[in-house]
Amino acid sequence: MNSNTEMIIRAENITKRFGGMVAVNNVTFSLKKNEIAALIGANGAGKTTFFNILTGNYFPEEGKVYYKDLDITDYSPESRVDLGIMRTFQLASTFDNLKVIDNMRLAYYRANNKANLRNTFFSRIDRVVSEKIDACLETFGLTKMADRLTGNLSLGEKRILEIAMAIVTDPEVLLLDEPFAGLSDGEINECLDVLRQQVGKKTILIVEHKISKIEDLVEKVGVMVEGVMIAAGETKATLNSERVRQEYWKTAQDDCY
Amino acid sequence: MIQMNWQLLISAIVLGLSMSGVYFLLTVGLSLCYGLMRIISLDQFFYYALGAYMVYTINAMTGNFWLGMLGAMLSVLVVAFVVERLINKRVYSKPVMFSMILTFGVNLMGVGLIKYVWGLTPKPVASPLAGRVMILGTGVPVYRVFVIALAVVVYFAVQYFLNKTILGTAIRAGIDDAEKVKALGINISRLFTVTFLLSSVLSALAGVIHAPFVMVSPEMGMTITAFAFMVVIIGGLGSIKGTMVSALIVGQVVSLGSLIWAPLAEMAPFLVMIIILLLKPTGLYGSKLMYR
Repeated sequence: MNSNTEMIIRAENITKRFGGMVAVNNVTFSLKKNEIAALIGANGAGKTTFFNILTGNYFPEEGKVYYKDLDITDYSPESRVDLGIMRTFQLASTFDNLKVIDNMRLAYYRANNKANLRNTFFSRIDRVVSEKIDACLETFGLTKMADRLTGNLSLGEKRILEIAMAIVTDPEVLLLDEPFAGLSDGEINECLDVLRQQVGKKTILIVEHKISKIEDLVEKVGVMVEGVMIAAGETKATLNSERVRQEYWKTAQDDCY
Repeated sequence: MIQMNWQLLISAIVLGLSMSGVYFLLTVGLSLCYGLMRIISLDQFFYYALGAYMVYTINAMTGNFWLGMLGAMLSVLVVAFVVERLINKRVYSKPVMFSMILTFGVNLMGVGLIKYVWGLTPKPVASPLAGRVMILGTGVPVYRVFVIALAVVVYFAVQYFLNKTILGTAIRAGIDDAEKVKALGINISRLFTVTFLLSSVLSALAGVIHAPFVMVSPEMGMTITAFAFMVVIIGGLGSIKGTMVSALIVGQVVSLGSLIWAPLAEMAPFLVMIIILLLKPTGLYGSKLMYR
């Protein structure tokens, strides 16, 4: 916990209770700049709750969340976006009644205009033009469907669009909530390709309960069991450690691999 | 004889269209508020009545209807802002029933306030545009044509705002899912305020342009409630186009119905609503998504 300055996002001794249930119990986890990490655990292990504390959707009873050296524990989700922390949702957070390109424009515009839509009553959405949007569409293979209504895309395409919407804002930290849930193997591979392009460029945290798909992608992994972070560290070593073998693989063998 | 019936028909259609204009202006706000905030904003009927009273008052004082129109919209803007910040914002994330009860209370309070300030006697507002224009050989009051034109302009302006501007795109995104809009870093509560104020000002405008057709009375908001809801339900909640089409239908049914047999004017729209809901329970342009 020393040399904190190199940590870009750092959660210390987080505890979150729902009524009498302790969902997250004294969890500490941090990410270095441009590190790609995973947070794994069975359903109900508290990983999504912990994730929502990082995004600002929940506030912890105990503990602090730091961004660089700033205490952001009480920051709203919107103000975390201003700092460069973007999240995605388990169900793709794209807007079905907007065109693909308008989804991108909205995300890009917001990120580049901190005035928060104050002076935009009559600015036209199609005047939001940027090479970055075009480049992003190209990178993610979305150019040909730019004018399609997002509601007509497949779930896999929506997930990719969602990641593209996050990347186009040029975030410092990208938090992905179960990006592979509900996708076919082919779609998972497409999503993985998209994520691989970002390795070393962005700080990314992926919450998943299947580690198998992302074992090769992530450098660091945190394992949660019943609200407790039982191990965290370099991927291979952590997954092979005694405690993870005993508590995680045992309880969650079929479910998680 | 044939000639006279033809003229009657034309003027009934024009009257129907101008009623559609009033219905549209009043219901577009209801529809938007439900679409974005998931509230049934019954206080819109207070803003409608308040708009009519403000235009009556300013018109009586200055003799200028257009100044009254402006004044009515501005005063409703202020009142609606206070109501939204103090009261309505508290029920945005609650089940829709909360907003119905709360805004119905605001509406009743508003009606009481109007009775207190202006009394119970209905007030007349003279039409600002005298004279008639000839349409297909039938003399039609200019003011009715103006109301129709105004509603058309507002329809296209609202469509432009929602579909072409950045703010409108953000509102459409919020109609899809307000929670996800937050994740983009957009201040959703400001979008809510903007939408509510837009709705309220349009309701006030509906009251203003309706005032010369009717006597301005404290209960006028209550009187139009049933018709407004019919328009919203037939069109499908949350759809601007649906609201417009449905306002056109209800306007014509009321107007042509009364031409055939007077009691039909009150009855026929309900009949049409029942038939449409049997065929399409979500309304003409409503999608199942809106009923989550």
